[in-house]
Parts: sequence; structure tokens; C-alpha cells
Amino acid sequence: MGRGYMGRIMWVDLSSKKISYENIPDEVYEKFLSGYGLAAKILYERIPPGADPLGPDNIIAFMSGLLTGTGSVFTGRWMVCAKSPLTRGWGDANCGGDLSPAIKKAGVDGIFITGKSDKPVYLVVDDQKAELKDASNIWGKDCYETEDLIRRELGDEKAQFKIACIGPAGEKLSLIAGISNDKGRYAARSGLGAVMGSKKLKAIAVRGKAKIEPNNPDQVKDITRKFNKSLDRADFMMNLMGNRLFRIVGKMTRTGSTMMRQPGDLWRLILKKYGTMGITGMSAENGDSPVKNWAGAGFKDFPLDRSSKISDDALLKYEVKKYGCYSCPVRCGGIMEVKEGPYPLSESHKPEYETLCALGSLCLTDDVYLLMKMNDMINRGGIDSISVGGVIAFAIECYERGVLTKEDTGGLELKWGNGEAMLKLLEKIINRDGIGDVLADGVKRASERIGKGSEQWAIHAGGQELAMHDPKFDPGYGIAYECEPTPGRHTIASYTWQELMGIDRFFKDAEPLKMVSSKKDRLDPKVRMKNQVLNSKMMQIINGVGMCLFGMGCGPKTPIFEWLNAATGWNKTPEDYLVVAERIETLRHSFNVREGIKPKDFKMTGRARGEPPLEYGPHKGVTLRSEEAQRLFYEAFGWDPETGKPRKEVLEKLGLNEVIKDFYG
Amino acid sequence: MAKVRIKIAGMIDRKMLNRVFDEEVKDGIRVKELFEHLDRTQTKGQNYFKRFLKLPSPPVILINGEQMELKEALNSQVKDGDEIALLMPMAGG
Repeated sequence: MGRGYMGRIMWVDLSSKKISYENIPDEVYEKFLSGYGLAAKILYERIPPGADPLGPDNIIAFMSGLLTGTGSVFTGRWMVCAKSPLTRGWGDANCGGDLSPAIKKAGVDGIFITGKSDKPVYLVVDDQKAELKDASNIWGKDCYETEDLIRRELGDEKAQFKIACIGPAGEKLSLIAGISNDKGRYAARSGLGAVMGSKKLKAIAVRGKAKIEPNNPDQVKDITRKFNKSLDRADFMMNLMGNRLFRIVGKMTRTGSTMMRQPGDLWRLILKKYGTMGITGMSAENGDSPVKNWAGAGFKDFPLDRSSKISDDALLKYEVKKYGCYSCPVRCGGIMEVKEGPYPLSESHKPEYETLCALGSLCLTDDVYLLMKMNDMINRGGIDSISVGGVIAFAIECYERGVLTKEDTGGLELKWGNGEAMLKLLEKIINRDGIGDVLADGVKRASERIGKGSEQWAIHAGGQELAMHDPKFDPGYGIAYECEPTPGRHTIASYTWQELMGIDRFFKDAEPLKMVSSKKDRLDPKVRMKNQVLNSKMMQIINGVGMCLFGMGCGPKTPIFEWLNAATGWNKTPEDYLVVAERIETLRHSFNVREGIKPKDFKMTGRARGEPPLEYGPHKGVTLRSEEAQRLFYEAFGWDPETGKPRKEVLEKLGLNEVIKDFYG
Repeated sequence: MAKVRIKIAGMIDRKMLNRVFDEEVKDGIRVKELFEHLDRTQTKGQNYFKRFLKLPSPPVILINGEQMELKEALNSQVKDGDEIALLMPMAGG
């Protein structure tokens, strides 16, 4: 009888070219699930403290999720974990696409790669057979060409192999390089493309025939059937009544000042029709999007009549087909074709909100053709669109302030809104050409090289560029940016995610989601901290099972725990799973502490905190209470707010004996 | 009369509505009355402004770029040259 997971992992040593398998005991899955959890357990134990992230001792793990392929939906995420060369601590990134089920069908829950090859290689896993192949003829190619060449070499006309690869940015060890799957889905963050590049690993190509067996397949199917029905019902009601539904259902469910669940229904509609790019216009205006390298405000610097040019219908007209990740009923992605304008494109993934904001609102560019072209270049070149947008905005500010000159930029006039210059700069960054070499490792390192006070315009936390959600709009994002083991990330926890998920539907201990006032309460870290911590823990479960965060926040309550119990045969309560989540989070955090990272090291650049506060716009006069928030978050997890070290009794409760040994002897 | 710039952005009736336009209204009317006026003159009976105010998460209202508490914003008096934005509060993606 199966348990949803495969019970073993693959090891590939690129130095010795040895490939082996390791069985994982059942109790490890019960304690850590799969995905980030299982990877954290293995990487904590086997990456030597202080290891060079770009050296042979770093281990990069390609993980599937525990629920992937079991018959559940929204559970097609694959993940990559390693020591991050960008933050020099725990690194992970998360991606949709089609790789996750392929890993499990190859009979493993994860592929762990260590060592360093002396020449470019790619890994082929064909069911039970795995081998390293020469990648000399692929090295230097972009991510689209790489997939095509590998398929040609493997005779894979039916595209059965699922491929993850790096582009030139990863090869050139850009610390903001990502890993591409299916020509444009990205495990972009933490700079893990550079880890692949350092190992001279161009790609992995995986297919298999293994059966993924849940413990109780009928029960899993039944839960899925009911959940799909609830999604259909919600769609039907929205079609019938549109937004009027919110008013009626809202009145039925509202008690006192309770925040209602229905934001998820609206979010699902936006995702289904537009994808995340649907919100670019309104986000620039309402204060969610950072504008002008975090120093401006949409209403003045990038108003709605400009931001709407790179949002919703302005892009939707180029979508020729919808794109959905494995097991997704929403399908928020899209494939674009652009026949008109200066930059024709075909078979190009639709830009996400993050990309449009990072290159648009942040740099004051509203040329939709340029942005679609740059999105395509990013997907081909293999670089993180959030970070590269952040570093371009930083370079523009340096230029506008005279810290960078035309001589430094190789003749580029890096002025706000000069999209043509941005496009040329992007090319230079991907290829580490001239000024691009200075910028290719992110804003923190670029400002260290440029100097002249530029560090105040380098917006990051712990070395990683912040995602495109201003924490002064939703302070929950700020807590995640500064407190989570991977800083600067938006797909973990926030007030928005609490509401979209309806976090108070899942746990007895949750506080009813209260409406917070837009000015005063919103900035008080105590107001939502309990649910912020629950949201953070929930994310550990979501990543352990390979679920999409959007799937958790699209209206009807997602039966994640019901699926887990049916797939594994466990009989755990949501509160039991919270202990698992706390273990995973504390272990990822401990990885950082062992590397010498202190809580203050993840402090956001002052401008993002509102230090000094902005003088106009929705965040005028707003300064976040970040220190207080970090202290409350750390205390909730039992971590010392000064040193970051988890308390011994917390580690004992969680059974993290390796960590106890490291920190307490 | 007061000339004001109106911005409305968000999803309504399965369509993203991002509109910017100018409107002349009686000087000194309250924002709530302005929205009622706009529903009569601009939304062809669709009552977008009224419906935005009833979204599950309360909308963001900016007056001259500054965020205000909902009640406070609705009771504010409109004056010539004001810019009033009614926006969906979504912050995901």
C-alpha cells in the first residue's frame, strides 16, 4: 500500500559521476513531509557549515511534493533547494510547470546533486535509468534552445521528458540567476541558477513510469471531486451574479468585523481570465506596487493611465492560448504571440505581475512591447525577473543622481522610463557585459562595488531584492521579507494571503480575521501576528506537499489536510500538522543561524521600511514598526530575537537533535 | 463648480475596469455623493461605484494620492482640482 510519496531519493555526484539511490524511512516523511521539508532535513545534515555556495560541497535538490500525482489538484509545484549564493543562507525556489510529477514517476521524491563537473553536463533520468550526458554543445544556449536541443538529442518528439535548465545567466554565475522549466516557468529566487552553473550542470531531463500510490486512492478522489464541485459552484455563482454575490454572501457570513472569505473568489476570477498581470494597473495606483525604485507613488509618478497600459486587457489581446501547470484547474498562465510592433514574439509566456511591476512601475516604463520583449529575454536568459528589475531600477537611480555616468554604462542613458536603454542593459546583465557584470549579482553587491552612498538605493533584504509588494501597503509582506529564512519573498505570508486563504478556517487557534483600519491598526504588528505565524506555518505544509499558493486562496476552502491524511494514511489533525510545519521552518531558519546569519542581517533597506517616510502618496508619513514585528515573530517561534538561535526546549520539542548538537553541544 | 479627476480600478462583472476621467461637480459635495452622481452619469446604470464600496475587502480610496479611512474619505468634501481614486485592495500575484 502506498503513502503518496516514493520513499527514496536519487543522489548524483558530479565529481565522481556516481549515481545512487537512498531510501528514506517513513518517519522522516511524517516529520518533514516532502518538498522543502525533506530537502531541509537532508541539506542541513549534509552541507558542511560554511560551504562555498558555488563550490562542490553545496548540494542542489530538485524536489517534488508529497501530494503531487496522488489525484489531488493544485499540487504540481516542484522546488529547488540549496545553500543560496545570494543570501549565503538557506535557499529555495518554487515553480509550477510540469517537472514535479516527472520526478515522482522516475521513482523518487527528489534528485540531490553534489560535487562539480569539470565540463558541462546534463542529467537524464529515464525511469529507472539515470546518466550524465555531455552538454558542451548546449552550453551557451538560452533556455528555449536548450530544451529544444535536449529533446532533439534524446529523440523526444512527444515532449515526454520534463526539463529544468539554466540559461547564460546561470552559466556566468549571476547570483540572481534562476532555473527554467517548460520554456518560461521559473524557480527564480535565491540565485540557485548560479549553483547549477557552478556545478557545470546545464539541465536535468526527467521522465518515468512509476505509479504514484496514495494510501486511500478512492478517498483522495472523493475529496478532489467534492472540491472541484465547490470550485464549479463558485464559478457558476460568480457567472450568475457577478460581484453582487459578494454583497449577499458577505451579509450572510459576516459577524461583527470579520473579514470575509470571498476575496478568494475574486482572485480566482482574475487569475482565470488574466493571470497575475491583471492587477498591475490597480496595484500601481493603490500603493501595493513599489514605484520609481521604492521612492515614488503610483498616483503621481506612474498613474493609472500609464500603469493600465501594461495590465489586464492591454496584454490579454496577445494571449493565444491558456497555460496551466500540472493538475491546475485555474490555469493562470498564458502563451503570447506578438505580430505587431518592434519586437515580434512567438510562443512566449505571458508576463507575470511581478515582472511587469519590476520592469514597469519600478522603472517607470509603460511600453508594453518592450516589457513583453524583456520578459521573453529574461525567460530565455535565465534570470530572476524580480531581482533584475530591482537592479535595473537601482542602476537608473544611480545614473539619474550622477553616481553612474554614460562612460560607466557603456553609452546607455539610464533615465527613468527609457525602455530601450533598459533592454540593452538587461542584455548586458544576462551576459555580464561591462556594467552588466557589476549588476549581475544583485543590488547589494552592486552597491558595494559602486559605493558613493548608493547602498541607500539598493533595496533588498539579506542580499535578495524585495518582491513587488510594498510592505507599507500590507505589512505582513514586510514581516515575511525580514523574518522568514528566505528574505524578500512574497509567496509566504502576508495579511493578503491570510485573507485569501481564510487562514482562520483551518485552525482552532486562529483569530477571526478582523478588518484592520487602513492607517492605524494596519501598522501595529500585534494586530495580525498570530495569524501571520499560522500563515507562515501553513506555507511549510503547502511547500511540503507541492501545492500552489494560489490554489490555497481561490475561494472554497482547500482540503489540504484531508488530502494529506487520505494520501498517506496518517490520521493527523491540522494542529498536528502545525508541529510538522514548525519543525520545517525552524530547521530552515537554523541553517541560516549556523551560517552565522543574525536577525539584523535580513533588515530591509530603510526606504522600504519608510525610513525616511515618503512625502506624498498612500504611504506618506508611514514608517513600519519592523523591529517590534521581528521580535514578536521570533518569540512566537521560540527563536532568540538577538542571536536568532532557537531555544533548546523548542528544538527538543521538535526533535531537531542535529541542531541541538550544533548549537548546544 | 469643481473639476475633479476620477480614477476607478478593479475587477467588476468579470472585467478589469481601469478608468481615468475628469468630471465637473458641484463644489463642496461629499465623496459619497460624488460616487452616487458618477453612478448616474458615468456607469450606465451599472452602479460600479456603489458596488465597489461593497466588495468583500473594503476598497482603497485615495484623495490626492493620500489614503484615508473609508468613512473619513466618503465624508470628505470635494474641491476643485481634487483627484479621487476608488481602487480594489488586492495585493497578491
